[in-house]
Amino acid sequence: MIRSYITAGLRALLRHRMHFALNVCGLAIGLAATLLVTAYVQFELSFDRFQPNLASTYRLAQVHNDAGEITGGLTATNRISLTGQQIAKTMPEVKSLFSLFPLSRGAGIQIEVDGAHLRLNNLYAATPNIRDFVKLDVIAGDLDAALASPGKIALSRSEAIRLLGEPAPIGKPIKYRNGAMTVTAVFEDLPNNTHYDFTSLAYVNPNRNPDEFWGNTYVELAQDSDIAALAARIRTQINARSPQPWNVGLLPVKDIHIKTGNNEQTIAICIALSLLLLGIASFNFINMSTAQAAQRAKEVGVRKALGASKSQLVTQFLVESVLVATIAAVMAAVIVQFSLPWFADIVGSKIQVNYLGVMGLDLIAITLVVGVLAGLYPALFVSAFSAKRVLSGDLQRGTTAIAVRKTLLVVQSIFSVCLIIATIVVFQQIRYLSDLPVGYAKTSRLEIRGLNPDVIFDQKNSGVVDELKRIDGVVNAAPFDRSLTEGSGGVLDIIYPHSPDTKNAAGFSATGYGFIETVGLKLVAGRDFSPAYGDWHHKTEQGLETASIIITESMVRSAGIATPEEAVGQVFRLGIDGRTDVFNVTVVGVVADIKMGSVKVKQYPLFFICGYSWSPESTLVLQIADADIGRVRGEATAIVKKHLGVENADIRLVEDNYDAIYRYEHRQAELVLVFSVLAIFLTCIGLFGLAAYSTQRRSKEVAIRKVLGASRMALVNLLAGEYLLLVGFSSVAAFPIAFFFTSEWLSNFNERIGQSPLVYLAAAILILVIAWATVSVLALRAASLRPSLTLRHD
Amino acid sequence: MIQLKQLSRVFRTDEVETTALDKIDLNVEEGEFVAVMGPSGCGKSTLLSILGMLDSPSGGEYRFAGEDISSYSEKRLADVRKRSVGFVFQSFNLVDDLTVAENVELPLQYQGVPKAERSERVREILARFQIDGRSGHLPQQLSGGQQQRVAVARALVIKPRLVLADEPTGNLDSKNGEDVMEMLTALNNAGTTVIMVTHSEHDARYAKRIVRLFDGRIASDKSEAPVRLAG
Repeated sequence: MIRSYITAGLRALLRHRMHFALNVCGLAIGLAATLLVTAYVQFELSFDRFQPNLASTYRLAQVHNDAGEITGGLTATNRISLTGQQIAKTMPEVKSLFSLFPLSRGAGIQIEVDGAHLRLNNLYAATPNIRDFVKLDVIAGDLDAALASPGKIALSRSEAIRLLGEPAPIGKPIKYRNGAMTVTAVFEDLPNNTHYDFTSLAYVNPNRNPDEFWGNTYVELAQDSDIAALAARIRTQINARSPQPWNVGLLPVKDIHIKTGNNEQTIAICIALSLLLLGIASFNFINMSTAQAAQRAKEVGVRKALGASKSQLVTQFLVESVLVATIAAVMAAVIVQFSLPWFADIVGSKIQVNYLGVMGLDLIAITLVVGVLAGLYPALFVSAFSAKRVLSGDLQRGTTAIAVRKTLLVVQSIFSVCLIIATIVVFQQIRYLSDLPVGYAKTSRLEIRGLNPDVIFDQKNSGVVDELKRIDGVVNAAPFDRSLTEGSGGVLDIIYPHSPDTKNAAGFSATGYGFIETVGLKLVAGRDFSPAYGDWHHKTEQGLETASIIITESMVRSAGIATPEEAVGQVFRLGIDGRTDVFNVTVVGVVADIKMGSVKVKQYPLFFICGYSWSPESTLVLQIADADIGRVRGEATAIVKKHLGVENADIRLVEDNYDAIYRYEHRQAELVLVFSVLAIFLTCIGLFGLAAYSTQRRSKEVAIRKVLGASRMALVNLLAGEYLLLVGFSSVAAFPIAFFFTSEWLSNFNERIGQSPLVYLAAAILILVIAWATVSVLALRAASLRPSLTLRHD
Repeated sequence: MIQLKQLSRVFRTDEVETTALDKIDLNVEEGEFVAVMGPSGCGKSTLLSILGMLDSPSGGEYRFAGEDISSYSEKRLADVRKRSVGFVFQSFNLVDDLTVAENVELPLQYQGVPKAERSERVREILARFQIDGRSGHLPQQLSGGQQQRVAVARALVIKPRLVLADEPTGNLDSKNGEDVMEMLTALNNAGTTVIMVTHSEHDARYAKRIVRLFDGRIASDKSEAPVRLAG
């Protein structure tokens, strides 16, 4: 029986080729989007699921109290000090503790192999119990030995090949600044779906300052531990020993990836968008099937007269819709193959699709569900035709079906309008962020990253800065212990003269002479750092530390000082190691506020200090004139090598770095854009299909009106009017929905655009124009027919 | 075989109430050939629908082969119908997307007849109606006469006890129309009950009994010696 349903179904589909094609294309697009998103979500959820002891392992991190939430990922903001680790180890719930201490930062460690200068990235010191926490396959040598004593290193397979040209270079030496390491173990490359990013591992040196040695730390907890209570106890003890107020968080290892960056939000947006598309495609299917139903009515009547039960007819039509869905699924699989690299790039994920695995089952399941769900209403609708009425020729078109079709069209249009609005808002916001006055110059600035601050901030080494300034095309150069685009960095306590008992949190960065001009800040009062004054950090004869600082206008306000001019010359005290009486700084200048890093992050009042750095890494900023960047880069590389011994220095345009801050938002914007174009396209397909039927139905009316003298335009508007009304209504209904979701998204940003009613109006006009254009293609054809043809035909 | 007692069918819409059949009494015995005639709107088609169990009466009693089926559910009606009733329509009503053979096979499928037996019976009946050469064609590829032959073959393949024909010659030229009437007569002669709705006095003469309806009531009911046309 099923076979005869399929043959009959196929023939019926082929007889209505246009609608068949529209249905299949629409569903294929919807299914392809769903498949891509399913693959993506499955990949994202597969992160670290294979690690040992997954149910009881957590990542332990401490962040400064006000710095916001503890997030995922393997970044500096989710580490904990060695002190914190030692405290955690004393907790009864903690069964074992594993730490990864980053040894290579930023641009990596310079090494020498067989005379060649290379960089070692992602080198971590790991505690020897690493394999209780990370699934590692050792393919050569002895990992335990590599982590047990200094002078040894374990490499991943591809790192071994990159550095030494062979997969198992056991016993070979790698030289670095302070000595040499022997390759003692090689482990298989980590899979794509883990948050760990180490490619080489080494021994943990126990003789480090426990407050300054920070690592990514993981703990295995006893069953049924109270996570929140444990974190609170660790926090209390850390805060009792350390001057800063710290917040401590425990995050399950399995959630680390998903809590990284915008992963969670991107996944949610993807799922929502793919469901929207699938919904729109299914609605098209429902609409076209019910609109087409009149043409199947006779068949239903005959089959009923011959004894078909209603359930048999429903089954028949469901088989047909599953058939259409299956054909669409095959097309979807092809679309997925072609669009996967692009999609993987947008979501920033290394997705793979293998139809022989889970994806195949997903595809079948989604196809069946869509086929049955989308087919159910049409099947029930068609099989409910009365045989008697159909066969005696007085088939009345159901008003319910028309109402359902219009309702679905309205819902589709609402989706489309919402997506158009969302697209415009997202792009406006991104544009706004890119154009945001950040207070520093984004153009004509180069950053040389990954330099050693001990060297840069030693006044004896000013030669490198001087020589950089002499490069043709370089206007200015200054050291900076942060990157402009990566946040303000250090936070410490500052005490203002007006309230000597209050510690205030302040962000700070270390800089050098000529900083204001080099970075392009706006001086409001006072002056830039200059060698002409004693600005550089130094110790006084009494053993006190002192330096000059330049503060921002917001710090002037939070210090309770009336004007920037008044602030110049004031002395602030800094809190160092819990003491507030050893470090005095003098304000020599005030600059307009600047926004370092992402505007999504809360920023403290900021000051710049001359010649005093805490940072593990430093930057040199170059202000360049209209010059050949490539040449400047080349010369700068040579100078850095000469003075600092750094090979292939990491030199980038500040502009590029700035764009990278908002790469997640760019991705989201691109996703929303593509999905909304698809949604509008699918809605148009649906509109086209429905309009085709109603035009056909009203062809006689059109002919009569034409005979009576109606113009073609009047006829087009007559036919399109019905749809314009529906779409117009949808636009209005979409406004509050769109407003809600876009406001929700915008609230992620501290700096955001205001929503303009013009955007909403534009979206409504756009969809109306598109709808009118779609319908008028058909209407124009109907209106252009010679009426005699239509009327005679009847 | 068929007993109608005080059978009524009323159609209601919001504004109008139309009585299509008004308390009809009618008995049809096994093996009869009845023509139902009357002007448009007299209730012929409604009567045929009720007899064919495509519609249920609003009042009164309908006994088919001794069973009162007037209150049967749609599902039970479908069950009785698919075993006992064959339909022949004015507009043939073949399923456009099925071939001749598949159209004829359709009622057997709904009866759950096994596949081997189905193809045998289809082959047999197509041969009997001399359309076996066309079994793989789609309906649009056949002439009107051929289509109606297929429709008749489809009605008869289940060996129905009752054949209902609704203006079976209405869309045919006189030659093909005569063929169809000959087929129905032969069928009736073999013992099958035939009830036919027609406008044509000529066709009605093939029947052994003519029931005339007017405004939902039986205006006359005459048994006549069937006219045997020469040839």
